[in-house]
Amino acid sequence: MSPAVELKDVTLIFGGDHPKDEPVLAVQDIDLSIPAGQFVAVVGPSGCGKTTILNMLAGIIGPTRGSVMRHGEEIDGPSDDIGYMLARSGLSPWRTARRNVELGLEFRGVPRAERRERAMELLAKLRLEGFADSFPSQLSQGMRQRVAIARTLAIDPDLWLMDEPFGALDAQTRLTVQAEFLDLWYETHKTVIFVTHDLEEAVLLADRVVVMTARPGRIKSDTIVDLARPRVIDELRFDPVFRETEHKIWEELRGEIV
Amino acid sequence: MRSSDVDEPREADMADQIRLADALSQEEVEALIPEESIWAYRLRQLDIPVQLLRIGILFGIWALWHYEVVWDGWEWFSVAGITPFPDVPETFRASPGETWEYFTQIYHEKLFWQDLWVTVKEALFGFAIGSILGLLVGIVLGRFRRVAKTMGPFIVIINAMPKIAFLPLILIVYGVGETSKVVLAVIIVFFIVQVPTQAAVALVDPDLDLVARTMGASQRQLFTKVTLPGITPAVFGALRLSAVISVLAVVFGEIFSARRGLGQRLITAANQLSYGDTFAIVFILALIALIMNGGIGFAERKALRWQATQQGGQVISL
Repeated sequence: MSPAVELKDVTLIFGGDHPKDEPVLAVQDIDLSIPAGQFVAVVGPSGCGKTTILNMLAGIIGPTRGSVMRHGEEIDGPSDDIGYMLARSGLSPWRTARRNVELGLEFRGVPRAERRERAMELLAKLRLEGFADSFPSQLSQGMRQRVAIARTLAIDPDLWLMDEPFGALDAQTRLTVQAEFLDLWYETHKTVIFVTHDLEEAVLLADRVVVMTARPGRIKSDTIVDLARPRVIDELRFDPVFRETEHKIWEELRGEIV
Repeated sequence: MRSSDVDEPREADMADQIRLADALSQEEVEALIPEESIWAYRLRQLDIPVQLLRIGILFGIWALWHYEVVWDGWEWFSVAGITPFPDVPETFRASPGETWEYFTQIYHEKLFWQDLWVTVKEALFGFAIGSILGLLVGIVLGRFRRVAKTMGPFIVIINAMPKIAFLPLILIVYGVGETSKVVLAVIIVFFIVQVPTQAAVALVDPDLDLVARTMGASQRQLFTKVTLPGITPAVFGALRLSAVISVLAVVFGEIFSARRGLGQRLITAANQLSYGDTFAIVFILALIALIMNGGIGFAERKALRWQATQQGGQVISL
């Protein structure tokens, strides 16, 4: 069976608009194969092309060389079975929390009652049922990010692309939202590519951590996180296996950051 | 025991959302937050000092006018041949009484109501047609960059022209009737709506666009569910302005040359040195613009209820 996501010898160059602009080599010779249901974290210094990889998988940009495939088929544009979540919540300020969650379902023409039911179910799981009719401006940062999680998952995507989704949250809020997110993922076990600059977050959540080099982004190391699931992340932080794994990956990452 | 559920760890961002009733007893709440009756609340909202000050200012304006202070200028104050505060000769001085008299006369005068209707009709048509065209062109230019690039210089040049200067030409083409006034208003209002609409389309939050595209939104859905709601606040701002400007354009056209309308009535009164009447007509014109503005404000509050929550419960009006 072909993997859920596969990047083969992928190189992407951002050509400048002006002839005198220096073209930028964003990512180089990326080979990555992810089986269905795996939770993969991608870490690396900022500007190393992590977001570029997500954008290629989302079908927003294409590689300059190589091929980007899902289930053995080349990606040729955006598809509606992908959930993409950003660090900034990207919520529509004119929609209530519930109607923000419904957005992707509206695009698919799901009937109103069904949309509503699905949105309320997800909001309840994220402990937001009391805020369904609040506008984003009335919610705290952590709540907005949880609404964004609900919106991403409402369409029941086959592939979850997360671009530093909890990067804007304070440490305590992040821990709670991470735990909730992990529980939601555990129920469905979909393929996740989770970009972050926070190594602890990567090891706590993922099955596998991919470290990228500074620009041009290449894969430096690929480590399996051998921790049992379901995970209780606020306790796991003090687990010796976790500490050891984090330390090992840190040694790889350190060279790229310093 | 209340303490048991307060002890539970709560995440920081939920802390301010705990309901008062869960944490404190009725007596404690009442002790901490004194109760206010609905009448006390309304009185506080009314803000008596502000209202008194407003009445005072209104009275002051009336007094300056009534005692003819405004007409006695400072003839001696002159810079480079410009005298900003000249004395107004006795015969041209209109009192508040004369102005008020006009209102009592016109009430029974059929021709006045016809003139009023002509001006209102012209302003409404000018506003509606100009705004719709401005909105459509603004959206198209905002969305299609190459169309904007092609049309850009032409729009900038036409917009740079003082549109009022087209009036003699418009009168030749459309005659002195009502159509010429509508056309003038359309040309002026068009740019007031088109320019900010185009800018707003280009400024719609790129995150919203990205999120919608990755969720598989079609071009039409991107437009109706991202672009259109995104530009609504800016469009309403432009519409408010264009309502006032459409009255201005129409009145200018009527003063210049017209058969009927308040502008024609105004210039006739001025030519007859009936300055009381002139003032009264200016007030009536202001009233028309205010009513149009108020109508748009009403629609705005309906359409932008989400914004009210951002501004502490108030959509800023006027």
